[in-house]
Amino acid sequence: MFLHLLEFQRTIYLALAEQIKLLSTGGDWLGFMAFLPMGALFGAAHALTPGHSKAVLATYLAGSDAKVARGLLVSITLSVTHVTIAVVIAALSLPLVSIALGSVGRAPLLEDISRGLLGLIGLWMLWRALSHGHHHKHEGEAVGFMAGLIPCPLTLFVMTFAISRSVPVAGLLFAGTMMIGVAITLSAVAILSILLRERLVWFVEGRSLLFEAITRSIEGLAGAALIALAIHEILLR
Amino acid sequence: MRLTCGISGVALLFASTVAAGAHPHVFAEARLDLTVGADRSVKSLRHLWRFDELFSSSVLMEFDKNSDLTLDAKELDAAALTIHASLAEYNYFQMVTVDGKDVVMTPPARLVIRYKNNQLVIQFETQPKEMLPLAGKVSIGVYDPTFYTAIDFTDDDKLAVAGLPQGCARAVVRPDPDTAIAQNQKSLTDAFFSDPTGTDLGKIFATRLELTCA
Repeated sequence: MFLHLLEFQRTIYLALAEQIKLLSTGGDWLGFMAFLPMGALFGAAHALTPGHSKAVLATYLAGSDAKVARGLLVSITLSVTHVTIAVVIAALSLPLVSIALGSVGRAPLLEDISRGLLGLIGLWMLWRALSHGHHHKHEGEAVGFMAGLIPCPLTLFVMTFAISRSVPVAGLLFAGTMMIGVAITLSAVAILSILLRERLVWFVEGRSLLFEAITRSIEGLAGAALIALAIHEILLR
Repeated sequence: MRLTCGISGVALLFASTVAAGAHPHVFAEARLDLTVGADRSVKSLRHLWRFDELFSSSVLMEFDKNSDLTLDAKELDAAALTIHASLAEYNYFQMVTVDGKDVVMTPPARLVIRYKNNQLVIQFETQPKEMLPLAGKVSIGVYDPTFYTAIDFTDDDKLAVAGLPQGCARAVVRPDPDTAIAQNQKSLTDAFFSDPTGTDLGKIFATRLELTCA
């Protein structure tokens, strides 16, 4: 299953290279537009492979009191940031992404910033769980943004390729459709995570002491998990 | 009961974050040429990796200091140095064993790197550090342990052996992913708990060249 997912991605990814080459040598846009919807499939499949802050997203949403609508907003913010930052890095050719094999496509500085900020959110959640504090209204979107700060390497490579072939618009269009696919997968993760928590909460509702204890401990645990992740990623790598 | 489930669920989610950074960003078509000497020992492994055009264009952008949209000798040298240094940390993506025991390979002195038809091509040669006679089962896998680069031998002939002595059989093993996961379930789980970041998917899925001699 996993390898099929990778094979599927490889096929679309390399076909995209061919499509961009066709365009740059005078091919028509109609053909490219017909290929474009593959971008959404590609993005959805790609986001299913390990990584992409899915666990951060799920952990945070499990520990927050976000409803499905807000959860969707968080996952969409994450997807948009993840793809957009890669487009920006390619467009400005910022030297933030490693091309060294073994860590290829990674952006160490941005990873540290993202994980550091999420660690702070974790601290805040833990503190809130212990002190019975309250959620900040736009916290979820902030988490989505922070988690998305790690650029999407495939978008970056597609963009540099399209730019080097003088058809940057083709890269942008593909990035856009790919973003939709990533958002679909991440939204599914968000909804699952929220439903799981709501189901748990529903089970203990009516027993208010237990209810309180559980929501607090989930929040505290999710906070601790985010802190541990930040420490692990930044200090122990 | 449900409470413990929920809590362990959250813990699991966290665990999966730590383990799960890796997925291929770069695709390479590879070729391996193994040479056996007259003394029936492995003399050298010659590797050739041709990278996909999208990644290659990013390398071009990174090292094309004079912005002429090609890599001249000096720019290629700089790229070769970066890649050489990064590969050293991962044993040049080689996994050589004899009857399951690791074989130490001498690092290549240099990488030969070209930029041809918009594709980055890397070549290098390694030798076993100590004499490696063909006896028992010698296995050579080529893969990126971090799983960021997918190295692909498109057909079995891309793993070639020159001078294979009589009494030896050459086989190319392409593990079936489902079987591989099932067979390695225990070691995968153990590996995960001992080192969650280093769980070695690549090793399990990697195409291997196996030489078995009587």
